[in-house]
Amino acid sequence: MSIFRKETSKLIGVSLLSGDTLHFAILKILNGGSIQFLARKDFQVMKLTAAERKHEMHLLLAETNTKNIEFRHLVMRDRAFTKQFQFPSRNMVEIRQMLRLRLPREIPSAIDEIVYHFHQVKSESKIANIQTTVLLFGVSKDAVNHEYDILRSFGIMPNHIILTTVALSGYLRKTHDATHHLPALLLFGDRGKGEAVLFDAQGIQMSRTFSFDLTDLAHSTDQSVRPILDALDQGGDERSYSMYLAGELYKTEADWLVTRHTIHTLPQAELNPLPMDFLFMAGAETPDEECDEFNLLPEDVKGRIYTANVQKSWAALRASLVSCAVAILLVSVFFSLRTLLGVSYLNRQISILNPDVKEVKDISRKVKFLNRLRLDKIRPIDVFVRIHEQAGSEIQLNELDYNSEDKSIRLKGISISQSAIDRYVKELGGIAWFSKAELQYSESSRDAKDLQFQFAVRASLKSFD
Amino acid sequence: MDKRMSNIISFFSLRKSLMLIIIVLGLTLLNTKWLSSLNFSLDQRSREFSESQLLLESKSEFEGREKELEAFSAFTKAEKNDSKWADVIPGLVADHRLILRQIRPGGEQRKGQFIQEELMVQVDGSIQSFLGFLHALTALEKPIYVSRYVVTARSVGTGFISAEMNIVYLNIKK
Repeated sequence: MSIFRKETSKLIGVSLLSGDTLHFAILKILNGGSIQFLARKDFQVMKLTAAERKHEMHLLLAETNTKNIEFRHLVMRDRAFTKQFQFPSRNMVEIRQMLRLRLPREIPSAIDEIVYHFHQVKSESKIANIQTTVLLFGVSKDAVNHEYDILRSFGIMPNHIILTTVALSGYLRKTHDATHHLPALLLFGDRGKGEAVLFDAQGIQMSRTFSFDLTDLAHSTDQSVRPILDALDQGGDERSYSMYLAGELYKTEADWLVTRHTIHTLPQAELNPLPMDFLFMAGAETPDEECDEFNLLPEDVKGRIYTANVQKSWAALRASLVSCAVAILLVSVFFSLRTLLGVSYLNRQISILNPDVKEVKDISRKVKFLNRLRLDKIRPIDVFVRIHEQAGSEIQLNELDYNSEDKSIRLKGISISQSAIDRYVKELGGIAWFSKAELQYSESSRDAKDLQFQFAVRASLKSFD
Repeated sequence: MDKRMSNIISFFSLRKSLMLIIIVLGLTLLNTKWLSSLNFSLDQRSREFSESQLLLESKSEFEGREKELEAFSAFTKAEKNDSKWADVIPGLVADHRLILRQIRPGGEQRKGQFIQEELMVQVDGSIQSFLGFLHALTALEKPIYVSRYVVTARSVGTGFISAEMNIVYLNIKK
């Protein structure tokens, strides 16, 4: 029925900062337990700009064509100090509370520059004995912030921060059936820095760091590792724990070590992974654990920090308001300057056109003057002639008032026929100088012989302006 | 808290922040007023620019009007010697066998870019004489024209009229 079983896998991105180098790998953990490297790269942090960092990481993630990656960040053992606790509970909320109560007494020298994290390293579930072992490790706040800042600049944010000690012991316990050989001591070395982890079924019993010289491994480990082992051996049988070597110490043939202890081989011996890859695999294999940050400061210091935080928030708010106001001012000034540039550009263009424009305006003025003069010279006489022409024999005009200022013509006359008057008014309307002509009045009067009609007409001159 | 943060907090104290905001908002307000005046100026300038362009485009319309412009320069030259232009009128009236009843100056009047000098003239005579007089005025190479006339028949049908005229001298120079 295995063909119906869904193949599940988990993708984990593991990072570790060592000096100015960010080591990063994407690993795939299949449900069978096997682990596979999908991508692996070392970034020279200081040589990359912020944009390049994001771009490089994006390319690396795009190479693997994967989404939903869980990010974990490893913290080197030499950057932290550790302390282990046992609590009679499996409830992590209770454990967290108990830890908060115990920490100030357990670590009296706690200072505000340290951030505390913890790992659950062992949980025993027995009816009578419910115990959870947690390993607390403290890291300098500056160091954590620095590492967070670097990771953020690469566009990644870790879900967990894991101490290498926890990762190594957990990995060894999981990949090698070490339960028959517990307690076990793992010696791991990478680029001259080493870590010794002693662990048993209860959790991590001891964790120390040491340094060594790769070119003179036998002599340097004799000097640095031997005192650690001597200290361990003081309490009892020197062969009471199993010995595992990993990383650069994997193939050490130091006489003092191999003759004194039985060295157990690791399952990855055939693969012979690089020390950093070993750490990556250990980081990827570490189970998800409850983790929290602890602040161990006294209440008055906390109060001061709270006040400082409040002050900081208000200062940030005020700074934001001032920045917004400045931004509005800058935008406004930008628009003003743009408009000013536009005005000055138009001024320049106008000043370039100005001589020609002046010339054209002058010509236009002269032409306008001539046109007006021509009109004013010709119109009075032409109007006079046309009005008399249209009158014919039936209309006798006795008054004609021409006024170019009012643009009006008034005329009075007599006729023996009303129809002749009407026709005359109609014909006046057809004269091109007039916009309209209308009869104002027409009244009959009888003289000695005949019936006569007196009339008045008003016409409007067309405007030629 | 690091030193930089404490510097920032002390810099953005309530009093300083308020002062800064007030100053910045005041500057923004001033700038807004400046911007609105600039916009107004920009509108004017762009209108002026487009008018200038239109004028230049219409320049071709004035080509071939050299004769007219010559006539204009003749007018303007004549203006120099036309300080006593009104003295011509009585002679013209007499030439056309009209009886001069009245002649009096009507003063100066500014109309746009022109200045009009007026002369009130009242004459009696025949229609033909009056028409001849008008023709003579039109033919004068001077900026003279009749702006108003009232012609009344002295006796209807006889052809004798009485006319009141406003004769205008149009002056562009002043």
